[in-house]
Amino acid sequence: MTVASGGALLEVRNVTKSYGGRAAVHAVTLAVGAGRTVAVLGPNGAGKSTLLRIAAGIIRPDAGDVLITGRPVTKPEIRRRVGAAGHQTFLYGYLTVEENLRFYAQLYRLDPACIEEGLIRFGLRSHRHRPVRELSRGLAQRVSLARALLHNPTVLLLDEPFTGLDAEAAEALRSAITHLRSRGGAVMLATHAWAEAFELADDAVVLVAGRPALVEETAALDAERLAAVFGTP
Amino acid sequence: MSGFWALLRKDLLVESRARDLLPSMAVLALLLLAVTGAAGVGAPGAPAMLWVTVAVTCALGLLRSFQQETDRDQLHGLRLAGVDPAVLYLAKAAANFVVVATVEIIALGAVTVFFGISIPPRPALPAVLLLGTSSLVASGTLLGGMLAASRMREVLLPVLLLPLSAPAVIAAAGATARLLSPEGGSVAGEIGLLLAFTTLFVAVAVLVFEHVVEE
Repeated sequence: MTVASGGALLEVRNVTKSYGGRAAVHAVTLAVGAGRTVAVLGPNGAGKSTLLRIAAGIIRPDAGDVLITGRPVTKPEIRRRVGAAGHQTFLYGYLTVEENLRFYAQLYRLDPACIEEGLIRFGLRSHRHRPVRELSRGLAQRVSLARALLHNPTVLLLDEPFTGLDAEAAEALRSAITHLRSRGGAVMLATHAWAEAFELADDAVVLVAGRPALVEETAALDAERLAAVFGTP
Repeated sequence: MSGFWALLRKDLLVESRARDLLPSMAVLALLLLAVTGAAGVGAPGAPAMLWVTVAVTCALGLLRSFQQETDRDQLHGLRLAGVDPAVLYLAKAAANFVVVATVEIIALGAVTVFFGISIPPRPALPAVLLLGTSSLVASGTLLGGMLAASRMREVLLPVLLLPLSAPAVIAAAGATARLLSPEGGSVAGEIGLLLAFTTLFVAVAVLVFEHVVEE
């Protein structure tokens, strides 16, 4: 279950966001504690990506707020503690893999050694000099994940992170999530794949039409209950 | 100013690799000047044509400069990294200045060819060129950022930038005309206006750019 707000690294409090009069996310409250992973499940258009963007401080909710370690994510120095990877890579196509990571390392004022770590972690050393625009979807996703983890974030937000990844890269991501949790970080993972949620998450929030339809420990969930909430996966 | 140099270096590196912005702006500038020169506008109209050309190519180029921050949601990455929006604006403006100033140098050379004029060694001329370019870039970068997410941006940027920057274009063209004439003359008033115009837009942009980049 989501933890009490006192010990949470990430708190989403009564967040609502509408586009053109339609609520993408409505009155969502959740908290993720240190060393925990929460899966946000739901069909396409359920509001998963919007919720993650709000949690990252990328978009402002119409109502409610988001706290990282008890402080508003709207503050730039707090937002820097968040790592995020989603449908878009945030990478520059004309820069090489290494140049992209170096650019973000400079923005985060990191030791350049972290670039090599990221390249090794996601098997990108042989691709380091390739422009990102020439990479396959899966390779670009690996670079995006390396970027998201470059600064050892306190809170990691992942939107369908396994899409396009081969077995080796998927294993590297699982390992990175485990490592982040073991050092007290928190992970929020949006997915429509139930197997990923059961494997990686402690808790699950099921969104249907932007509203939390089910909040439960993944250990207490099974496919039948999920199917009853939002249909087949 | 944390991140300024990283952002500036990245923008210039992307432009040097893409090689689509500067060449297209330069070709457009050359075409505009060649056509108007061949149409017999003549030497008296050269300064005005120079600045209209720079303003038009500027409108084309500044739009593209923000597209590299939106095609893969890179702007979100910058926001997550805590980049100060004011620093983002200043870095973008600096990179745009380099590109527009390069086009302006090419256009200045083209003016001497197509309009048959020579450029006298007047110390105030570099100042007018510098401040005229700064004025266009300061206002254009702000507009480019504001319109980056708009579906109508290709139309809106020229439509908004040209009237908005008209005072600067008129002042720069007037000062350039005076400096290129055999008699010369003082351009202190125009330089003051261009300086004020640039300062105003930079100040406004630094204050409001946070709202501009927010989704």
